[in-house]
Amino acid sequence: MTKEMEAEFSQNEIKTFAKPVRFVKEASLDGAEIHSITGYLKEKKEMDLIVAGVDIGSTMTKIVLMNTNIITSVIGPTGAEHRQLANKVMEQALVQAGLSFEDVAYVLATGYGRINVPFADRQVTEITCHARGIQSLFPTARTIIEIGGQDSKAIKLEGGKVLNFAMNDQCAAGTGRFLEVIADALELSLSEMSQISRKAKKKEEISNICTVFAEQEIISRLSEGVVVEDIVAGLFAAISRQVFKLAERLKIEKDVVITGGGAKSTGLIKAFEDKLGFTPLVPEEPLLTGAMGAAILGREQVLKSLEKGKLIRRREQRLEKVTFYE
Amino acid sequence: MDKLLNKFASIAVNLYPRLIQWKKETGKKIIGCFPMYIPEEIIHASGMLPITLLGSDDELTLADQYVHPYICQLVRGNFGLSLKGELDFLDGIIFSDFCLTVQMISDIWIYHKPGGFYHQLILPKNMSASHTKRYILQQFNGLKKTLEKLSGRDISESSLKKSISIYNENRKLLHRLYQVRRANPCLFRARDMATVVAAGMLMFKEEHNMLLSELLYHASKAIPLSDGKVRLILSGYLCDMPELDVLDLLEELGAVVIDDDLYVGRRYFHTLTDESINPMEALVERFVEDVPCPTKLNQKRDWADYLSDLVKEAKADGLVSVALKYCEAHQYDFPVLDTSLSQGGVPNLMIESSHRGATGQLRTRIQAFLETLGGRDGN
Amino acid sequence: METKIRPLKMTEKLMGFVGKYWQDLWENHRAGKLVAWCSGVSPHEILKGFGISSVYLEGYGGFCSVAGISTDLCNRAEALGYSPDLCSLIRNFIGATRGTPAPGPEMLPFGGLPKPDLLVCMPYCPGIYKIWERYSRYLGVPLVVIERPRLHDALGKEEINRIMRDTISELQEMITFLEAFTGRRFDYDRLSQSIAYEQEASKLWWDVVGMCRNIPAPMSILDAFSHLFPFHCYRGEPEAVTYYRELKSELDERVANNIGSTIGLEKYRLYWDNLPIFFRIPEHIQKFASYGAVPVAATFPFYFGFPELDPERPLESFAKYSLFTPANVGLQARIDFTTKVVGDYSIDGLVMQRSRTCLVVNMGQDDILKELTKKTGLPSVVIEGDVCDSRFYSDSEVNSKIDTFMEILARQGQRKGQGDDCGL
Repeated sequence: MTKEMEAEFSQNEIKTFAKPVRFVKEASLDGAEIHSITGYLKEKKEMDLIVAGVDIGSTMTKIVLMNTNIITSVIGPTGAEHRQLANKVMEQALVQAGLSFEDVAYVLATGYGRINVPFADRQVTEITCHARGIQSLFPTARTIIEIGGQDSKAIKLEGGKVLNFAMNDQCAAGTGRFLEVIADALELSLSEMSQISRKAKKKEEISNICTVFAEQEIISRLSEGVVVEDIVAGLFAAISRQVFKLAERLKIEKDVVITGGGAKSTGLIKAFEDKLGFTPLVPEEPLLTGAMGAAILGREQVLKSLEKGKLIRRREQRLEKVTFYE
Repeated sequence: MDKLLNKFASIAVNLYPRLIQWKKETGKKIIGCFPMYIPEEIIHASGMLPITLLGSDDELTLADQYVHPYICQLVRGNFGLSLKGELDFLDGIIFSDFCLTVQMISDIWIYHKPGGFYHQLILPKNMSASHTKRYILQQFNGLKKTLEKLSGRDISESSLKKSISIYNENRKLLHRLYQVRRANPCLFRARDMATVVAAGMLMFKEEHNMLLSELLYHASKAIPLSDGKVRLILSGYLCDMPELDVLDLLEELGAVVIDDDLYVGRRYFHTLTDESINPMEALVERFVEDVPCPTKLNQKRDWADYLSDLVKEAKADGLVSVALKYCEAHQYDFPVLDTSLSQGGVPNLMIESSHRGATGQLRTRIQAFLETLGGRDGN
Repeated sequence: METKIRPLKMTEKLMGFVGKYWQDLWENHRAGKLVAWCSGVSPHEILKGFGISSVYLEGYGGFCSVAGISTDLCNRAEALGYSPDLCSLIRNFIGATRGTPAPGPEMLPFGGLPKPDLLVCMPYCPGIYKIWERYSRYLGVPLVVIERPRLHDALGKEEINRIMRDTISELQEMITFLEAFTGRRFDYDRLSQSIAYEQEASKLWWDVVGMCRNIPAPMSILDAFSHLFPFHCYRGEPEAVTYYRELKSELDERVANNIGSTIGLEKYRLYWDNLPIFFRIPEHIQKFASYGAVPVAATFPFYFGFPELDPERPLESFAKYSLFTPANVGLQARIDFTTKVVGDYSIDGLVMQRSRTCLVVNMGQDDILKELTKKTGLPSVVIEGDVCDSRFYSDSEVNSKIDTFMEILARQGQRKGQGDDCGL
């Protein structure tokens, strides 16, 4: 869903702004420079603590900077070819917030590209991060469905914690990628697809889960004279069925929240609503819940450590290109 | 100890060239056992070396020309090796009909490599029918007869008893090693344990016993290492070699495998053969009483109960079960296992593996599971 | 597309026969009579000896596939955690009986399966034994298991005799168990009678399939796949005999008048390998017919029925039936059997269907094709499909493969069907 998202390159309003505090440098044990954030918090307030959540997806990098509130958030391309643009998105976020990298006390990375992030202090899976992000937005959520670019996930929450989760297998069916391939085949944008699907008289059955097969199937339906709106409605039904199956494995319980890039498609949300029999909750900016969760988790960890009087040690993090492990 | 572990690993990794050399030097015969449930003691008693055919991740393309790709890695890997001629040094191969894929491949294999020495064991699935034991005994006796013919040597009761005792010795040593691991889990990497057990599948047990004793001596003297890691039981890879990459990944993500339910692991050595009764009957008993398996039905214990107990006994935090892709038996039982374990309060993760190594998705699943257990990266 | 098919009158009666069976089954269940779910080649005839109604579950999977709901049911099984790689007939069954969300009786053919009092399993594939043990516990009903060892090519006579003896003794044990379970004495005469019906129906069925040797063939073998349903329903019952007698007489008439299954010449005669793609049978018949081609032979119909059944020796002949069918033998025996079928039916080309989730037929299929090509020199096409799960099937891909294949056949010149350039 690159084109559309790039166009939407989010310019969220800056809600709060806090003057950052510089780190206190400490001598390191093994020669490398280590920062400690303990020092400044002794004097300054909690709200000065700035944490970044970085969600590096297969196509988009999402960043949330926060203290007690969200300072700013940015969505930018991961870099389709070399996937080396994540650091640029970080730079953009910092510019937007009027901060320098040193102002950020802690960076927590998540998402598909979370592993080798030179500017991150720690990495946590997108499952835990989405769960935390959603939980802060919708405290009543029990089931989360995340439709990402490369895979879809279902997460079950209990007492705010991840109880169980399921992910689709190595296949693009029921993912953003699937939607994108089909949108290309139909020469429609994603929002056009949602609009068109509202006009459907019936849902054309799309049975193939294989992206390649489904594309063929759709083209041959079109040549048989089936109208586009029925095909698109059938397609949304097929994707929701595929993802619903994952969630059903964990036993769906209310409230259900749908997030991830796929949740931006109102047509798909409608298809889920039909399948569920009730209205699912959708965050205002579904792309950001992972990054937001990452920021919250990072902040919580820093605060918890400080409470215990533990020293949080940071290695010298560098705002450099992300290398993927695959 | 590292040197010793490397020795096991080199035996397990350098599968066949070493054996070809060994055969040249000793002039002894080698019998390939297609996993699993082949009563190796009978082969051992005939003076021949039983080895387990653990497949190969490399020889798939050749096999794919003859069998369609929707069958498991173990069967395709072994068949590929055979087509390539890499198993030609074997003096015989024994198959057992424990699952459909192996049942089907044996005829295909013989068709493509005619003229070799083959034996197809037909083992029952029902463990509690009135005919079960009689049926198995007949099969084992048939195997014994063909092995006597092949080796040119009668298998006496006393030689069989001796082989059983050597095998039991091997099992007891492995039990002790696993005890040491439970007490000091960071002492061994999971890959070390897999190669220690795998090495024993590729050499005479007498020799393996000596190496094991030496390893135990060093291991028992080792200083306990503190860990703070998530303690896992790893289950699965029910008849093949676990992927070492995946084992490493578990550790990299902050877990330690404290015990297992792997074929190349506890499943292979857990059950001892009763030395107080008639040896052939004892082998039958061992087959019937062995660790619960999804290819057997009406066993006394349920697999989920067995695993729950293992988790409790070893004080593990959770269990990861890996099914080999296209392993029908395991996949048919996956949902039931998942439900039973979860209901019994055992956190578990069911994953499917296609021997493609530690892929990004696998990493995310495992890491997220460890996070739910409150591991290194959890909260 | 212009219709070129000459439909059989019996096709109209087919649903009537099948519908009656299900109606009776549900009535029996409601009247408190015992119902058994049977998998594979289970001995339905023994159940008849106790007055127990039986359902052939894989056959029910076929119905669901024809009805176009299999993929939906498979999805419901997958929502429980069952892998899509597993046999689609079994996933279909799991979806229909305990899938999530549970399918309502209105969506299932014949209102679904009545809850069983007993499970019987003598499976095609060993992979599914465990499912039955799980179902037995889940439903709280007893399970009768009969082992079905594969008759490998290399097995000696002695070993085969041993397997036969063991199978017979398992069948006897089943009878003993059922006597205790039902509190009734087993009616051996009823068993013999049932075996006699089954034998008669088998003979008629094999005759019907054999009539496709005629040029032109009175029906497509793909049609024959649908006409198997009464066989599945009325195992060891007189209704099956009636049905196949009527079907045979209709085909007799066609053969006597040299009437084929299509309007126009039957130019190409094809062999169909592996299972049918149940949810596309009419489409495939139509597609081939548009080229003047008719699939006339297959091995699959011979998996059902066994003319050597013997009412005098019911258990022994049943054991033979269950063990010696072409679905339960080694590769060499399968090659020999397939070669014979291809030889018998004057075949011009081979259509090899690869049923994605059916291991038992797929494994060895490549070798069978290689041998057939070597022995007959016939052109062939491999099409990917599945017996139930439409997600493993693509119309556009299969159609374009068939198009190409028919072009190849047309260029070959020599053919055994009707037309100017054939060798008749």
